Amino acid sequence: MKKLLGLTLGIMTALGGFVDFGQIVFTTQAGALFGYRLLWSIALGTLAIVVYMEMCGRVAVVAHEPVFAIVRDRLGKRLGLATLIASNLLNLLTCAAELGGAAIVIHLLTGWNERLVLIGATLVLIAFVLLCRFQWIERVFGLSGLVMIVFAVSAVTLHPNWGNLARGLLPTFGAADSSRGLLYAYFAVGIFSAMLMEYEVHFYSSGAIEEDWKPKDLRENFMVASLGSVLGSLLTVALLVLGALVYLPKGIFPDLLSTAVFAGAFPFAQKALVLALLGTLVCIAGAAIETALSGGYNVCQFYNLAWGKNLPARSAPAFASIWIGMFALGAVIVLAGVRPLQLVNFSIIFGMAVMPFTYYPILRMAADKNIMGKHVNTRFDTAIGIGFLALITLAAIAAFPLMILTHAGRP
Amino acid sequence: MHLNFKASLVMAPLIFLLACGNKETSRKDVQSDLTAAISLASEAETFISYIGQGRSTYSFASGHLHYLLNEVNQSAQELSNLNAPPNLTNALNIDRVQLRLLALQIQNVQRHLQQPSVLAASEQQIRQIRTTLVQANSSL
Repeated sequence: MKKLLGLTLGIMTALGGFVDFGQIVFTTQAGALFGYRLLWSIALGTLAIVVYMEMCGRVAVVAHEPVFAIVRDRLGKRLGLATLIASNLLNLLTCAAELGGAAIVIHLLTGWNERLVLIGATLVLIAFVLLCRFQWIERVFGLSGLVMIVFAVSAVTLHPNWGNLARGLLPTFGAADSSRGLLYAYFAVGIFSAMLMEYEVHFYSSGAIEEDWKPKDLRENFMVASLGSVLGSLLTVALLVLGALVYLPKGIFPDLLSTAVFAGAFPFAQKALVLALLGTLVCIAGAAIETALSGGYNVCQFYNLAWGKNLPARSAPAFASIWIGMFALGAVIVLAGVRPLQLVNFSIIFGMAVMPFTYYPILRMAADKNIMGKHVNTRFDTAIGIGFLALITLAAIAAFPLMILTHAGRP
Repeated sequence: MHLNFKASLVMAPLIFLLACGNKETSRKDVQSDLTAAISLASEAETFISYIGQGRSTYSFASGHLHYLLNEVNQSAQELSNLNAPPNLTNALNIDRVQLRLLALQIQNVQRHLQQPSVLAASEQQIRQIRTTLVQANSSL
């Protein structure tokens, strides 16, 4: 039972990372524009995050080094600091977007005033994180996030063409016109990026240390990383399928969170709609917690300050102030009138640019025999890691020009 | 001088990209605006049909229509600031008028969420709006 509950770290990490506000809207849009043709991007992103999540979990267990301690040691103080600032800015933007998204979902569930809901939800999340131990946070959000399965049920109920779906696993090039080709590339990069958001590995590696994993738990590390990611990935595929089946034939470009949620209940009625809203709320709130805590983890790990959700706030004052500050600032950004979806679009592409600086140090550390001993990367692990790092770097270079040339994905 | 040369090397591609992102209103832009309007009309039609079948909750229906109306109004606002060359003026005007009509229909539905006959009539009107927009788009 304990081992089974251990899976919740992987599930919460993956749901918060894969099925957050940005990914929900972005993937539904991709399906509505290109049908199943971007499925390969989800598959590639899933493989990449499994490889790197396993690697950073292993490094955390063997070397007791969480991600940002590695970033500092491997990139040096200046580049490390630049990465820290960029990563935490990204965490803040994402946290703000998720809080805004949570307020939208609660408004859709209850009809309550969205701004008051935003303030209330932020306070509830802060209180919840303050009061609960790390294990309970991941269990509550990991297990209740499974309600999102309603999206997969809806997708299957609408009878996707399985043959076409399988063909989507291979990239297709040569669009009819160049702007359509750029749009295809923009969504491919965006989906890949959204699946590899840095806060997933920050949260996962810190979580492994919070849970006090030992080298004997390494086999479970792989299972937790891969099962959690595969589940998150299946839900992402469901979103793509729903976009393709519900919106593509009608020429609808889903630009609202509520439109994407509506697709999740499309073949059914009110109960499914409520479940889709609840599942979305849990995933989005989980992502807000992941990004806020990651903000605290990153700074404290970089400056070697006391950190840990399971420590009393008094023993880790910097950590507690930073994650609470992330929530508070995030809420202020949304209250100031910035649309959460704008934040999401920007954070997905901005995240891509920062990504190589997060994943490169992890790869180097995991391949270092002096530190990792018998748990060092195999040649195969390193080769795969280098391959994905090359893809991440390519995508990072292409991200900003694609965002500008496609007007941030406007069809 | 050396620094200026370096700066221009960095800035040139950025300026090029920004220039690509900020073109004058062209046929392509108008087509893109019409496509967005068709998408909004189609979504409103689909959703109103869903409400009419009693499959939505009241809170979701009123919340989603509120967000949809905001999108329609924002699109209409953006269109009102556009200047198109004479050969595109007609299409742009159709877009503006139909978006205004769409906004009125959504507001009407918001007021009569529990009246199936009003919902059915609005759905019909929105279908007409979508058809007009599709025709304007294909005439470009």
